[in-house]
Amino acid sequence: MPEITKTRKAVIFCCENSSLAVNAVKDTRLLEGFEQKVLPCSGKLEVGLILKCLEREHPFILVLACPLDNCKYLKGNMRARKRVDLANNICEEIGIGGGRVRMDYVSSLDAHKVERILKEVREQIQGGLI
Amino acid sequence: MSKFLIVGAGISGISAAEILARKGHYVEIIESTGAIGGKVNGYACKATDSCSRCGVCIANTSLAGAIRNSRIRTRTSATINKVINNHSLDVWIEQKNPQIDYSKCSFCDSCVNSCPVGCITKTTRGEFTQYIFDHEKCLLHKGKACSQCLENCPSGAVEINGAVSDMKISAAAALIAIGHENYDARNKVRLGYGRLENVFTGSDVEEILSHQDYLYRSGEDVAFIQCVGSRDPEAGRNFCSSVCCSYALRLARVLKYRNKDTKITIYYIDIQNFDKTFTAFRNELEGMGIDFVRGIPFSVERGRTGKLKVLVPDGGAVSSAEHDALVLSTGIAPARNSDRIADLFHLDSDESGFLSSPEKNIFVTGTCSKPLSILDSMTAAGEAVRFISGCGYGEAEIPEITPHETAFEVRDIPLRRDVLVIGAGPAGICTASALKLMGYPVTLIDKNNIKPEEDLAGVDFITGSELVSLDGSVGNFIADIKTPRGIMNFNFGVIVAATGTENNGNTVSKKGNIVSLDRLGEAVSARKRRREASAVAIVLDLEIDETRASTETALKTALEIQERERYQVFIFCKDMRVASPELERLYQSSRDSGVTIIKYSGRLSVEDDGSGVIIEFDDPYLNRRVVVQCIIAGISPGGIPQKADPALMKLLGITGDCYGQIQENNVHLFPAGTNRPGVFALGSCRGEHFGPQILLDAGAAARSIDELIAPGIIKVELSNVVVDQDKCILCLTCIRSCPSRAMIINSEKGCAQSIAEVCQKCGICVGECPAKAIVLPGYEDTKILESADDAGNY
Ligand SMILES: Cc1cc2nc3c(=O)[nH]c(=O)nc-3n(C[C@H](O)[C@H](O)[C@H](O)COP(=O)(O)OP(=O)(O)OC[C@H]3O[C@@H](n4cnc5c(N)ncnc54)[C@H](O)[C@@H]3O)c2cc1C
Repeated sequence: MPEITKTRKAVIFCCENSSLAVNAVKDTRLLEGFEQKVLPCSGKLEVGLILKCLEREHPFILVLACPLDNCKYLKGNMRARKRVDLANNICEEIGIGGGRVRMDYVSSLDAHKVERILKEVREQIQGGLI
Repeated sequence: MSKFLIVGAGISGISAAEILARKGHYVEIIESTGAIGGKVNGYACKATDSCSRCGVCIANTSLAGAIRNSRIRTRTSATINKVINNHSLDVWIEQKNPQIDYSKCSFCDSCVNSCPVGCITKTTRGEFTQYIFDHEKCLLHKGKACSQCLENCPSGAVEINGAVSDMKISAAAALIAIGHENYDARNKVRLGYGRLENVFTGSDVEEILSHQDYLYRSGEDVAFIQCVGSRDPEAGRNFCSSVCCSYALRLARVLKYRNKDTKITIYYIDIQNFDKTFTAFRNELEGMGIDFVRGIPFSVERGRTGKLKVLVPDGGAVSSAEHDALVLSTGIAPARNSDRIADLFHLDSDESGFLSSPEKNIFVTGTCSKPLSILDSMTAAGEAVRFISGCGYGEAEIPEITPHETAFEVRDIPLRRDVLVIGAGPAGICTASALKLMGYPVTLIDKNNIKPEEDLAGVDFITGSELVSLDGSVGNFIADIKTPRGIMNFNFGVIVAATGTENNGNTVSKKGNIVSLDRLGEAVSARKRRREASAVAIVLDLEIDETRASTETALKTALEIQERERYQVFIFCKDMRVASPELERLYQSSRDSGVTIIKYSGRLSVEDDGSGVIIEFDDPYLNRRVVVQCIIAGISPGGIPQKADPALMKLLGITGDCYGQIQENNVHLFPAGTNRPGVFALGSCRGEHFGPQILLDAGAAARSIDELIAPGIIKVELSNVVVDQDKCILCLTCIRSCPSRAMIINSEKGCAQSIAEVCQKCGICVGECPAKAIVLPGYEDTKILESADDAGNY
């Protein structure tokens, strides 16, 4: 796997609901440098997809899912959680660092929470912490 | 086709409008403010990592859908001036322009960008976007002939007809849904609202937390004061507002979650049970370190340290505490102009200001009729529509379903109109009769040989019968039912489970002095009456918190026994759940008749010693362990977790919640439905025991079923998941992981396959399939990975 460079955008995988919160982010500058990929449910996210994004030099993967007990498909968000953990473990194992995939639970109304998360991720990437 | 008028564009008015429009009616909504959505607009999502089921996101989704409906016209900043209701209902209104017809609006912001004075604000919350005009700034209202927003709107959605226009609306009936105002906390001068800094109301906090993480700084010490202006006879408000415990506990949980250092105290009288997983929720809060203190502070002053000093009654004495910020949990009070609307529409108003209508073409719903939560408001709105439709106001046109543009083939799948209802308790009987009235063939089965009191004419009622196998899917279920005449095979379009719970008899003692609450009355009668007064105990909240339903039974039983000669009834409870005006009255009259209420904390033990029962508990007032002896004790089944029949759940292919009741914890997402399309559940098998609520739920279930099967077909877009026959290894993972039971094995092809009309297109099976044999059309990996090539900019 090539070394991760910061040449590509960080990826936000989100479900249809949490994408509403991303779309409602007031300060749109926060979204610069991020690329949003909307899935019907976070449970659709596969480990392979995460790894492929990293392989394609996307420096960071942020996964947004509905809060637990609020998934329209019951437990899609719990499945996503497991896969995110697995992806991080794999990254660690192959030596590219385990902190490249982050998952948060946000509802469609949580735009302010998304803003905070985006700021934190940006700091993390800019600070070279990954 | 009829036209209906709805006054108030809160969640109640909007929900009712949406249902009427779906039935093919036209609806005009008159809203006095400039915004659609009512109070809910200012509420925060109260989820941490897990949802607290506050319902705000659901309300938003509903609002977004409704305003775009072409049969619903919402007029904002509009006032009603005159109403004449003789043979027809005529209403004269005055509206401020510009107005937006959201069924035409494409939300492109051209109006916002073209306004020369910037008087249009766009607000977006979740799916719900609207434009709000500031008439103070608007040139039109300054006498200028500005119409920039109209001219620049590409879709003709903006309407201007002078600054203010008058019009007459004639309607078949009107629904009043003007909602509530928060109780004015300034009335409680000693609690400091408006007088001391950092004293907030519940709605202030909702507002603040909807856009920031903390109240006024992080690491604060916050106290919630419950029942401000509720359960307060002195203020003329002797009823529980029923929403404050729920929002306060949820807000407290969010505050604590967002900042672990926040210290939180909740001052309360009785915490109301507001949710089917309430006990787990409250335990979680206590586990987080949130302090529950019984007693409502009566005075707040700025202390010497600069903090807010509160004085709380503590047994006979007074204790004091200091906090950085206070949240006054204010309840529901009548809407500001409720008197005017009551005059115009000839409504009745009760002593607390809640409205009802004696006129047969005027209806009232939402929080202007009684305290309701968002989800309850939505259910009540549906019930109001059922009344309105029941009054026979003209035939609705069946709205044509405008197919949304899709690249996929759309197929009509025929659907049976027969309904199976399992369980002949109140919930089942109510749904069965409602569906029968709507003209559907209904089969009602019950495993016991019972004879219902209600007239079930027309319903095919088979007693002593059980479902033994089930195949097929929504619209075409194939069921084997074991009847006294042998196994019979039926076809149904829809199945309703109303099977109640397995009665948990464990608590009833062998010696016979501990009985189930419903048998307490007769058990007391069976005993010889003694000369001196005998103590009878009713024990509540034993393992989980009581609901309104079980509290109602307990209070009624207590009152009945207390009124017999020479009995003294004690009710042992953690909290008294009286979240409805009728219950508050019942509570009052049982206390008046002499029933003694004892509130305990922690665990209570009930032992049958052969001659009577011994009850031991921690008394939080006396601060010690107390032992009480009674001749007999009735245990409420509401205080013990009740499971639905697991075998039936398995047979129906539906999942349960953390108590083993039907429906997942996220029941708010499908109020009457289950994870499996075509299978519905209601009544106590899904955790609702309160009679009035069961009736509402049964109506709601009948309506959703009607909507599903009335067309006789399901239009299905064939974009469901596709399985690659060569890759599928028949491991059954997809079948196990599908939340809606859409996957089956195609034995001819030797691979898994999805059922188009069941598949919800979530893609969970795609994510789980170890062989990568499943594809969700439109979400192929290559498509997802396509990305703009421009580099990230760091
Ligand atoms: C502080 C607080 C927090 C709450 N939090 C929650 C919660 O988290 N979850 C929950 O389920 N419930 C909550 N509730 C309850 C919730 O507010 C109600 O269930 C809900 O708002 C009821 O909706 P409604 O449409 O009946 O009334 P409203 O939301 O009050 O809407 C009524 C509408 O009618 C309009 N109107 C009034 N008078 C007129 C008139 N004369 N002409 C035309 N229009 C008029 C109003 O402007 C408004 O738009 C909370 C309540 C309070 C007080």
